[in-house]
Amino acid sequence: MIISRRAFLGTTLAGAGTFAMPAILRAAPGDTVHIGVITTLSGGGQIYGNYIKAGAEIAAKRLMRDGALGGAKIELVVRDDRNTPDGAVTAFREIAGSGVKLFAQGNFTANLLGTLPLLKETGATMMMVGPSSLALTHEAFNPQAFRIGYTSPMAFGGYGTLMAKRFPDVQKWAMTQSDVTALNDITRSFAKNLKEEAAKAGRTVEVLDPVKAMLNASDFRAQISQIMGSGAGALFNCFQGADAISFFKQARGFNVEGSFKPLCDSGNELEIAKAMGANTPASLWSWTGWYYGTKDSTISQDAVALFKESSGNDAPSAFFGFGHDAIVTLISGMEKAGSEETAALVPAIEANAPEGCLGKLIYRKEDHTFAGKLSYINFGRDEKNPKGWSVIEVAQLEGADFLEEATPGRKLN
Amino acid sequence: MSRYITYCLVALSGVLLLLLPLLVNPGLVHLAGVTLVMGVFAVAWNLLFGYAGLASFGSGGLFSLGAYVMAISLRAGYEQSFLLLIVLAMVTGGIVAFLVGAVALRRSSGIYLAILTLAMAEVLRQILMRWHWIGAEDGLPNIVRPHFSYGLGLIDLSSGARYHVFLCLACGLLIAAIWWIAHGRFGRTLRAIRLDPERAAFMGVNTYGYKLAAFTLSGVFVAGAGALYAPLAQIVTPDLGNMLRSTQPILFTLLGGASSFWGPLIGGFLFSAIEYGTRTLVGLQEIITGVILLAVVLIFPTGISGAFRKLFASLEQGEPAPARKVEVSDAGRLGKPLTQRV
Repeated sequence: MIISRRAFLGTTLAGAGTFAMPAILRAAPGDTVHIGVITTLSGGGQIYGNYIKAGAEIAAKRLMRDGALGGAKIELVVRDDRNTPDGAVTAFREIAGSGVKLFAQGNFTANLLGTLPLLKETGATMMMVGPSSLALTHEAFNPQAFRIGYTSPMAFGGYGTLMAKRFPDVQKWAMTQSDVTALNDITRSFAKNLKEEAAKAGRTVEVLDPVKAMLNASDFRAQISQIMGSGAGALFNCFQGADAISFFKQARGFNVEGSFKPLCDSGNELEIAKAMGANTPASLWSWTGWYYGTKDSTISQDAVALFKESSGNDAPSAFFGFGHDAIVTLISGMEKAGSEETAALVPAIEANAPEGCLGKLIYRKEDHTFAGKLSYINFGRDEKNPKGWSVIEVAQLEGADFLEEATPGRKLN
Repeated sequence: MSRYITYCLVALSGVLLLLLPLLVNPGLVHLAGVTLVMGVFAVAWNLLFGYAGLASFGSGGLFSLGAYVMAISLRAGYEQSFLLLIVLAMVTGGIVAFLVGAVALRRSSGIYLAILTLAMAEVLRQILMRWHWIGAEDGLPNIVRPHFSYGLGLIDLSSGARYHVFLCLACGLLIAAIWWIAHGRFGRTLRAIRLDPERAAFMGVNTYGYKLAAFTLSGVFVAGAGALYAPLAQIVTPDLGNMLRSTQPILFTLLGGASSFWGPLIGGFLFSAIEYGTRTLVGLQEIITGVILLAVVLIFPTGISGAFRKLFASLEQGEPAPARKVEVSDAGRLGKPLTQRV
C-alpha cells in the first residue's frame, strides 16, 4: 500500500489534534463522570432536597441526551445528609473516598459549613445549591465552592427596589416576620432598598418595624389587627412555610387583601396559591428563585417537560432549577477546562456563562456568589382556572445590580 | 468463661477500630468515629439510667456544651492545650450537671425529671441559637484539628486518620474510666439505690448525694464526648443539643441492652451499621431501619447484649442462663462485688 505525503500529513495532524484535545472532550460514550449530590431527602427538609435531586437528575439526563462531554455518561451519586452536618460529612467523605471530585450539595447552610473545610484535602469542587446565608461567600468563603442561589440582600434588596418603582404612590409599608434571626436580613434588605429607591425619585417612604410572631405560631389575629391599624398602604409578609399559609388564611377574615396594595410575600413562591387554591388573594407578589413556567427559557421548558414525564409533576419549586443548574455549571465548566481537577475547573467556571434554567449562570469572581437574574412573580385568584389561581406576571431584574459587597474570607459589615 | 469472651471481643473490636483507616473508605472511618463518640455518650448516659435508675432526656445539652467549649477554644487558637481543653470541657459539663442535678433531683424523679432535663437542654439550645458571638443558628464551622507538643515531639492530628486513632484511644480511656466507676463501690451503691432506695437510705446511704454524684459524673463524660466530637465534625451547631441528640443514647441503650455495660456501645454500632447499609435506599431507609429495630426489640427484650449473654450461657451450660439476679440484701454489703455476668 502506498501512502501519499498528503494523506500521511493529514492523518498525523488529525491524530495529533485528537490527542492534544483535553482528555475529557475525547470521552468515549462508555466513559463516566461522577458527581456527588448531597441533600436532605428525609425529614422536613426533604421538600427542598427532593427537588434538588430531581433537578440534578433531569440535568444529567438532558446533558447526556445532548452529547455533553463527548458523549460521556454522567452518573450522580446521591446521598441523604439527614439534615445534619454529620450526615453531610459522612456522605461527602464516602463519595470523595471513591475518587469523586465534583459535588452539588444543598440547601442547608450548617451542612455546607460542615463539608466546605474538606474541599481542600480532597481536591473537590462544590456547587452550593440554594443556600441564602451570607456566611458561605463571606467569612466562610472557600475558593473551591460556588453558590447557585440568592443571598437575602440580593433577592430582597431587589424586591424592595422593584416595589418602589412599581408602586410609587405607597407612602407607608407594614411588615410581618417570624421571630427568627435569619429572617432579619430579609426584612432589613427589603426596607433598605425600598427607601433608597424612593429617595432616588425624591420621595420619602416610611417602613414600619416588622410585627413579629413566634416561629410555628398558629394564631396570627393579633398581628393582623396590629397591621390593619397601622395606617400602612402596603404589606410585606415574612412569615414562611406553614406559618404563611395560616397567616393568609386568617387574613381573609380581616380583608387584608383589600386593605394593602400591593400585598407582598417574601419567598413562599407559589406555595401559598397551591395551598389556598381558589382562596388565594386576588393579587400577591413573591420573590422566586426560578419560575417553572417561564416562557423566556427553552432549557426551563425542556427540563420541566422531562420532569413531568418522569414524575407527573409540572410545577417544581425553585430548588429544581438550582439543582439543575448546579450540574449544568459543573459539566460546562469541565467542557471548558478539559478536566475535573479543581485547579483548572474553578477558573473555567469563573469565566464561563452557560445557559441554564435560571438564565445565564454567572458567578462573581471574587467570592463565587451567583450573579444571575432575579425573578419576582405576581399571581392571584382566577375563577376561570381549574386550580383557582393563575400567574399574572413575572418581573425580572439583573441580579448583579443588587449584589452585596464582596468580602471573601471576612464577615460583611 | 463469657467474661473472657467479652474481654476478647472488646479487645478485638478496639484493634479493628484502630486499624479502620487502613481498611475502609474515609466516609466509613468518619462514621465509625461519630458512632464511637456517640457510644461513649450513651455509656455515660447509661451510668444514670442503668445504674442509678435516673432517666435524663436532656443529656444532649451537656454534649453540646462540651462541643462548644472545645470549638470556641480551638478557634481561639488554644490547640496547643488540646488535652487540657478536653479536661476543661469535662469540668464545665460536670459543673453544669451538678447545678442542674442539685435542683432537679431534689424536686423531681421519673418522668418529671426526664421532662425537666429536656426543658433545660432546650433552654440551652435556644440560647446558643440566639448568641451571635458563637454563630447563632449556623454554629461554629472550620474547627481545626489540633497539632500540639507535650515534650514528646509534635503530635499532628490534622488528618482524618490520625484523629481517628487519637479518638479511639481517648474514647477507650473514657470508657475504661466509666467501667471502673460502674464496677466499683460507687457503681454498686448506685445499683442498690436503683433497686430499693428506701432500704438503701435505711442502711445509711445518702441516696440524694449518690444520685447527684452520678448525675455530675455522667455530665462530665457526656461533655467529654462532646469535646472529642467537635474536632471530628469540624463544626458545632445548636442542634447538637436538640431532642433527637438526647434520645440517641436512649435508643442505643435499648437496642444494645440497658443491663449490660457494653450494651449502649453495641447498640450504637448496630444502629449505625443499619443506617449505613440502607443509605442508598432513599425513601425506604427509615421504614427498613424502623422494622429492624422493632424486630430486635421484640425478639431480644434484653437487647443484643442480653441475647449474646444467653447464647454464651447456653453454650457454657447447655441450657439458657437465668436472668441476671441482684439480691436486694446486696445493698447491705456494698463493699463486696455483686455476682454478675457482664
